[in-house]
Amino acid sequence: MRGPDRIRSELEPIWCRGCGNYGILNAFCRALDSLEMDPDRVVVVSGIGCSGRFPWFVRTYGFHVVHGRVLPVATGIKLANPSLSVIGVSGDGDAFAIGGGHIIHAARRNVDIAYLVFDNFTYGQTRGQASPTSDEDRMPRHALPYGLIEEPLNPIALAIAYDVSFVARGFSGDVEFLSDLIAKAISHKGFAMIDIISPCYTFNNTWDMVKEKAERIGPEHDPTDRAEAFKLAIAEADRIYMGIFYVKEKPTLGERLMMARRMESPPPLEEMIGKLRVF
Amino acid sequence: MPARDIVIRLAAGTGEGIQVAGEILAVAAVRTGWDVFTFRTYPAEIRGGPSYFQLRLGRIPILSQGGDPDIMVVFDEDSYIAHLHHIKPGGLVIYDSDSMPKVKGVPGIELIGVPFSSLAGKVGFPRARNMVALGALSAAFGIPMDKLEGSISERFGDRGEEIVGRNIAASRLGFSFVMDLGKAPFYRVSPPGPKVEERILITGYQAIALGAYAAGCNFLAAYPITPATPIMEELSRLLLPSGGIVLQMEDEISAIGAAIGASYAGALAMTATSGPGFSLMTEMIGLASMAEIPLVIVDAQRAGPSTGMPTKTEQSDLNAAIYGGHGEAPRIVLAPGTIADCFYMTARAFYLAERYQMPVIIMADMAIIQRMTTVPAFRMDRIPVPERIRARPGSTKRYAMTDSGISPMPIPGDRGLSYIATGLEHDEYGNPSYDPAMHEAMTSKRWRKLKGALDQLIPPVRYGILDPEIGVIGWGSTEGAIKEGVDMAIDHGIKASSLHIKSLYPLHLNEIRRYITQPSLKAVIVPELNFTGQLADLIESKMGIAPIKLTKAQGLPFSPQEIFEEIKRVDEEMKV
Repeated sequence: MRGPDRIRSELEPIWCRGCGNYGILNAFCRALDSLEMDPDRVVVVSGIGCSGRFPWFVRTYGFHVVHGRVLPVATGIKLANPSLSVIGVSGDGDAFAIGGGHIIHAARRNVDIAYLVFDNFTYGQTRGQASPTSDEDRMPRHALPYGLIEEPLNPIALAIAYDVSFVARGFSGDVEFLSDLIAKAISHKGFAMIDIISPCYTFNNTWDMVKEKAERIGPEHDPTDRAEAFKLAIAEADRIYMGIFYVKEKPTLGERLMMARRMESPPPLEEMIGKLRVF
Repeated sequence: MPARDIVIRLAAGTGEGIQVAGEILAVAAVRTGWDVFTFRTYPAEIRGGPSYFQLRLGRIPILSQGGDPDIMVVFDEDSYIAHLHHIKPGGLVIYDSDSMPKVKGVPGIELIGVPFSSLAGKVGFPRARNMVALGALSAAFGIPMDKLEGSISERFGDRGEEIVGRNIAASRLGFSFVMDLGKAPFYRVSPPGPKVEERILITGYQAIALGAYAAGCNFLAAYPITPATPIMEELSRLLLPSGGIVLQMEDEISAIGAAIGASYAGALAMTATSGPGFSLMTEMIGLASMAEIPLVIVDAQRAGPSTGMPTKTEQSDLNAAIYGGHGEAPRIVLAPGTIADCFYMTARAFYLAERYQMPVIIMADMAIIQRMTTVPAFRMDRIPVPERIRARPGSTKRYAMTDSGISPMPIPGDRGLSYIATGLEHDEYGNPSYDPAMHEAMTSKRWRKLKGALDQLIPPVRYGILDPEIGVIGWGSTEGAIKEGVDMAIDHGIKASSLHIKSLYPLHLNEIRRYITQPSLKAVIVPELNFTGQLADLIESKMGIAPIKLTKAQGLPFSPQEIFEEIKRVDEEMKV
C-alpha cells in the first residue's frame, strides 16, 4: 500500500458521524506518510475519552493508558528507545483537566515527543459536561446543571508560558493545513504541542463558530519571538489563530541525559560488590 | 563471662552525627570480626527532635537489633531522660559531662561522664563530639583503637587528610579519657569465631539497588519519598555509568507511568516508593496488570495511613499490595525478611515480572531499608536471568490464549507486530472487546499466570523445633526478631518454631497448611507491625483458622524479647 492509506488500519472508527476526529485521523496519516515514516517505528500513546481510541485506527504501535497519563508513559517510551517516534494523543479533558499537571513538566524536560490535543471544548464520551476549554454555554442541560460557571483555560497561552518548545493550533476542518502542522510537530526536536480544534458534533457543535473565527497566522509572525507569540495567544476574542505560535530550539531530555551521563563502560557486579566493604 | 553480643544505643537530637558515628562503629566492629545489625529511627524533620541509632554486635549470626541497650551514649539531657528507663540493669551510660554537668543516677546503672564538647574543642573541631563519644565507647567495651581509626579514615578519606586527622584525634581523646579512668573495659564481648566465608556489610536499600542492577535493570523512575529515596540515589550511582536511566518524575503517578512506558518499549524497569506514593500508583498497577506489562515496584513501607509517621516503620500496606485497586488485577507480592533477601528477591522480581508480564511488588519497610548488617557476599550465579518471551514474526495475537497464560510480547520496532497495549478489556489481537465470554476468558488467562509463577517463588522458610507446639508465622522485616524470639523460647524449654512467608501473593497455601496442621501444633501466633493483623486475617481467610494476633503499631520493630514473651504467654495459657 502506498500513500496515507498505508498508515490507516482496517478498523472503522467508533466516533459519531460528523466528529472532528475523522479530519485529524486523515491529517495524521498524511503527515506520517509525507515524512516517509515506518509505522513499526512509531508509538501512539493515548488517554481516555473519544481520542483514546485513535491508536487502533492507525498501523503504528500504540499504548492506550489510563486517564490523563499520556505524557509520563510517552516519556518512558521515548527514553527507553530514543529511535522510536513517540506521539501522544489526548482530549481536552485528558490533557488539561486530569492530566494538566504533566504538561508543565514535559515542557521543563523538553522530552522529544509530539502531543496532539483533540480539543472539542467538552467531555464528549461522558455526554457533554464542561471541559477546561469550554467557553460557551451550548452543552446539554443534563450535563451542566448550573450552566457554565467556570472560565476556560487558554492552552496556547499556557504552553507558551511554560516554554513548550513548539506550540501550534490546528483545525480538524482544515486537513491539509493540519497535516502540515502535525508533520512539523513530529519533526520538531523536543516537546511539541498542537491544540487541535475538533468539534463535537453531538454535544458541543462549534463547527460554524470555529469556521467563522479561524484565521491563519500570517507570515509576518516570528515564532521565535515569545512575547509576540503570547500576544497572538491572548488576542482571541473575535478570532482563533491557526498555525505555529512559538518555536524554541533547546536541548531535549534525551540529549541532556546523554550529556550528563558519565561515559564509562559498565562495571561488572563483582566489581560493584568489591567496592562494598568486604570482610 | 564475656557476653555473646551487646546492644549499643546512641541517642541525641538530630544533627549530632550519631548516624555517622554508628556506621563507623559498625565497620570497626566488623573489622574486629564481629557481626553487626543496626537500627535507626529519627524524626521527619531535618534538624531537631529525638533520634537514635542502635547497633548490636557479637558473634555471627546476629539476626536483629536486639532489645534494650547494654550501653547508651547520650549527648543531651533530653535524650538521657527519654532513654533512661530502657537501659538494661547493670548497663552503662556514657554522657556528655559538658552539656550535663549534673546527672541524676539510677541504681544499678553505671554512669561515665566524658566532656564531649571540650575534648572536641581541644582538637579545634567542635563538631567532632560524635568522634569523642565513639572513642569513649570503643574503650568501654574493647574495640581496638587501630580498628576504629581505620574505619574513621575510610569514612572521611575523600575529604582530605586534615579532616581525617582531626576526627581521629578527637576519638583518641575520648578513648584515652575512658582508659584513664582505669576501669575499662566495662564490657567484654566473646571474641569473634573463625572466618568461614567472605561477608559484606551492606544496608537494605543498597542490597535492593544492587539486586536490581545485577538483574539488568536499566530504568528507574521515581519521586522522592521517605524512606524509599535512598534506593533511587543508590541506583543512580549504579545505573548512570552503565547507560541506564534514572528519572525523577513530578509525582508517583508519572513515576510509575514512565516505568510502564519504558518497560513497554523493552526496558527492565522499576519504581520505588513508600505508602503515600504506593496509593497514588494503584491505578497504574491495574494498567500494568491488564495490559500485561512487566514492572517491579518497591514499597518501602512506613507508618500510615495518609502521611502517617514518615520516618517510622510499619507493615501496614499488605492489603493494599495484594488487593489494592479496582477490578481484579493479578500481581505478585514478595517480602524480603533479610538483607540477603533484599538482593536476591529484587533480582528475582525482574525475572518474574518479565516472565509473567505483570507487576511484581516488593514489600520492604523502613526498618529493613535502613538496616545495615553483614551478609555472605552476593553470588551472581544464584540470580535467574530475566527474559521476556518475545513474539515471533507473523504472530499477530499479542494477547494469545495460552495454557500458561503467557502471551509472547512484541516490543515497538518489531517488524509487522504492531499492537495496541490497553487498559480496556480486549481480544487476543488487543482490540477492545466487551464480549461477555471474552472478558471471562481474558480474566482467566491473566490470573492463570499466577499458577505457573507460584513454582518460581521463594517458599516459606521454617525455623526451630521440628515438632513444635507453638508456631509463629511472620512476613517481611521481622524475620530475624522472630527467629531469635523462637530461640529464646526453645532455650526456655518451649517447643517453638517459626514459618516466615517470603511470597505473599500468590501464597504457598500447601506449605502454610502443612505447617498449621502439624499434629504437634497447639497455637499459631502471627506477629505483625500493624494494628489490624493483616497477614493473620489473610491466613484466616484462606485456612479457616484464626491465628493469635501479635500486633504492634508504634512505628518500631519487634525485639526478640517481645516475640518470646508472647510465645511464653501462649504456652502458659495452653497449659492451664
